[in-house]
Amino acid sequence: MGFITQRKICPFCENREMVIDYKEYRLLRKFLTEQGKIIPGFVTGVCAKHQRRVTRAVKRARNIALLPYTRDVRE
Amino acid sequence: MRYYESMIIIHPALETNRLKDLIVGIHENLKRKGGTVITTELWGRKRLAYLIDKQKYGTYLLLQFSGEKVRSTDFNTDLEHDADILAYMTVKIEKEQIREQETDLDTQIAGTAREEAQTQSSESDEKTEEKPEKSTAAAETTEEDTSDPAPGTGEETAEVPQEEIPAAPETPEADSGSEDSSETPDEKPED
Repeated sequence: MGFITQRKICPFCENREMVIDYKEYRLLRKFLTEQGKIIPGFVTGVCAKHQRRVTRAVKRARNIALLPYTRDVRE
Repeated sequence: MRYYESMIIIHPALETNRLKDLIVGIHENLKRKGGTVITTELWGRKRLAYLIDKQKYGTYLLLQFSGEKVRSTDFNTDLEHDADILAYMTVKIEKEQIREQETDLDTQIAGTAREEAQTQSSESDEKTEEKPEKSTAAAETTEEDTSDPAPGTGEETAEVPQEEIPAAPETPEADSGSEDSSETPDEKPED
């Protein structure tokens, strides 16, 4: 039959205690690819509101060298 | 009243005394600019995600302060001109995000100095330790392989699948986030 896709629940909506902050760079790593790119919300299931915050936090963490801008996967 | 937060990366080669002088200097500078320091957290020596001024490591310092009219641009230019500061970032924060000062600056500096000594010693150990770990992991697998043939050829074929079956369902449970993305391509061919 048609597409039976399991609807993903935003991890930040589900658990309100999770804080999106650039200092929590270990948590933010979940939302990056191996190369260091930000994974789009429709893949990770993060809602639009929290995806905007994740993006901002990742960009701040990159600025202060907590997360990489890019990473060479071949290394 | 506005609240700000500065993350500062200090040169890793600074000695404890000079590090303290630098931090105290930043505090005084901030007071002169009309801010009041709320918390200072020394994160210690951390590996940078990318090289800054050809440095692999940096000492991270988190500074939370408040002020009505903090001239942040002046404060930032002072940080910019300091040769011992590799990078910095000042961000506006909410009142709820302010952390409580748990320990003094002196104890933090002493703690990080101790950690550094440990990490430096462990770094040299890690290189030597890593190899034995791998070899033990490899040895475990080889032990299983070698132990199986010993009892008999009939038994080993029966034992091996039993060990593999419980291991397989564990992996999807562990990473539920990535599981969903991997499931979708599987469903399409079924339709």
